[in-house]
Amino acid sequence: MNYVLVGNSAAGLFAAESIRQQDSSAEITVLTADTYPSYSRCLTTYYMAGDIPETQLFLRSAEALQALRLTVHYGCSVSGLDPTHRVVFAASGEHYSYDKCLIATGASAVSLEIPGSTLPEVFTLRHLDDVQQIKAIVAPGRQAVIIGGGLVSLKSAYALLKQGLKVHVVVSSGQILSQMLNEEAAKLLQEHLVKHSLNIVLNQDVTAIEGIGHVQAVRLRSGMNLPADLVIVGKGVRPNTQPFLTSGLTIRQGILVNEHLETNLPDVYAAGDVAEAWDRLHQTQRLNPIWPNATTQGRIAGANMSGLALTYPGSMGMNAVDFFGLRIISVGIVKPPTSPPWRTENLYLQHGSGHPTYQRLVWQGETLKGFVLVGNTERAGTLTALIQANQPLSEPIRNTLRRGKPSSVLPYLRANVS
Amino acid sequence: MKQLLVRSEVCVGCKSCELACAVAHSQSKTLFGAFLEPVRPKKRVFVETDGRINFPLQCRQCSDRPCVHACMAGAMHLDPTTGLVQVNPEKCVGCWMCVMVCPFGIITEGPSHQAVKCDRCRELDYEPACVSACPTKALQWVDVDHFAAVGRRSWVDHLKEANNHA
Ligand SMILES: Cc1cc2nc3c(=O)[nH]c(=O)nc-3n(C[C@H](O)[C@H](O)[C@H](O)COP(=O)(O)OP(=O)(O)OC[C@H]3O[C@@H](n4cnc5c(N)ncnc54)[C@H](O)[C@@H]3O)c2cc1C
Ligand code: SF4
Ligand code: SF4
Repeated sequence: MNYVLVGNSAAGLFAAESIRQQDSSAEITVLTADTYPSYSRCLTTYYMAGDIPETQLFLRSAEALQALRLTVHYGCSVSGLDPTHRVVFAASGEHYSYDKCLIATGASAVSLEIPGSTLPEVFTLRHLDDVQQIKAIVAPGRQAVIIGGGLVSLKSAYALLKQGLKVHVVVSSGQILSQMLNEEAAKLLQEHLVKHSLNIVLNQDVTAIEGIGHVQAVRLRSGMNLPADLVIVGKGVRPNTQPFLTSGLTIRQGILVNEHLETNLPDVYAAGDVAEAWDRLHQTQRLNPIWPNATTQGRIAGANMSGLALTYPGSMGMNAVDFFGLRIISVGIVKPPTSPPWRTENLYLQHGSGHPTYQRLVWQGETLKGFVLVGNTERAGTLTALIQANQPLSEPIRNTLRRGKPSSVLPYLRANVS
Repeated sequence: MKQLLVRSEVCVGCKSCELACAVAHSQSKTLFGAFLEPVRPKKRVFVETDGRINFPLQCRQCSDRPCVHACMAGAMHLDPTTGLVQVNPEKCVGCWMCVMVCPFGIITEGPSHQAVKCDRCRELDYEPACVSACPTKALQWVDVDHFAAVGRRSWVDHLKEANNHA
């Protein structure tokens, strides 16, 4: 069997491993625009911060990759797919026939179209090369402006602070991490980041980046200027569907896949940030561009391509962060509708460590739909599993959770499942 | 291949496993030595109770391995030689994505900001200390075919099994 995988990141790598596990004689060809062996984009800011060396970005050892026996074409940009002749085209003019094809092209950073956005020190952060370029110009005392208050923005801000820069984050909405956190939790994180010298400007837009030949300042809608030597734009991501727009694939925002991660075209699968797969909380297909969803989808798509019939249980939004020792985990729906049966329960505790401790549970009736933990995130996974179980929980369990003791529910649960 | 069988219905909550686990993961591997070490060894099993039912928790080697999928560093992995989910401390960056998804809540933080969990006593040649220490045989180390079904089970299956034993 001849497998062609497009992309060698989270989804592509886990798919390749899963295919190899099922099919030892498979011919697996990987086409990737990347010029590096599989690495973790999520860790690029750790590298930028100086927390880890470059070598630690790579997900697998050379031996482990060799054992997979992949034929990898690096720097290969795929430009199209023909489902009738079962071939994938590359921009170089090459074409690759497949029996089974996986599209795992991920997503790209959205850029900003404002005056000055083509100046050389304006970056988005998606690839290792982006980080290499940023690293080349960071130096203590320099100033950086980060546009956007999402996860990648804050992780970048953290990295630059650690490198001794003066960092400003400009957010158009009224809170940071607006996708991941409710307002109260965001406020706790904001106070913590401000203590670590981050300048956060809320409810503000950048109208232009100023400078002749080089970035010098960023102009805000208020008329104010923030001095800047470099700018990072963190305005979210967009799925890389471009090469497949004329292939006959059903594409909304991402490539639509069913519960087996199959697209509408025979023997063509999609996984990861490029796919709109089932979302277990929103009960529809949806983009969910996070690492665990990409790897899980990659593994299941790979297994199904090689003959199994696994069902994808569904994605949900979730993330974990640790900024200067303050830990936050958020899973599922954290900003529910305000009317019944939706309900939230918020618990503040002052922790011995000096960090604030906060827990928010989001309920739909008696079913747990989301949570945010700030400070103490131990045993968060038990709450995640309860959300995934998607069942009304008994009163003793709800009470135990309310008191902030997720693991103590396990003895109760024993009596709850059958 | 052997697996841990947990029969929580006979667990009396004595926490002998917790102590044995901390000692097994100490430098000296002795009780007194462990107490004297500058970095206190961490236990990787936790006995939870609701007052009636006791529940020893440790890595259950889930069939769907959510921690491996969540790990953005390739640190949480399936060891190809033993088939066990293990943490590679050299790769772990302490992002706690694994903590976010481990249904048993058993991943904790080690001394150098890294994920730590039950490793089935790798340093004791995979003869788990908790099993030896358990006076009621609530923890047993058995060949996989002693289990009715295939080796690995999901979280819900574990809970159901615990129920069936009760
Ligand atoms: C700085 C940063 C921090 C992040 N932090 C987190 C975090 O804390 N938690 C979290 O869950 N997620 C995080 N993410 C998101 C996470 O990295 C993505 O969800 C994940 O990488 C998606 O994997 P993927 O395989 O679907 O796609 P991608 O990682 O986007 O990889 C796409 C692959 O496809 C290839 N490709 C694309 N187009 C083509 C083409 N035309 N031809 C050939 N090959 C192509 C690329 O070369 C690449 O190999 C972060 C991302 C960034 C950038
Ligand atoms: S999710 Fe938790 S219990 Fe399951 S294999 Fe991973 S560490 Fe072990
Ligand atoms: S804390 Fe370590 S093992 Fe856990 S997900 Fe992060 S890098 Fe992986």
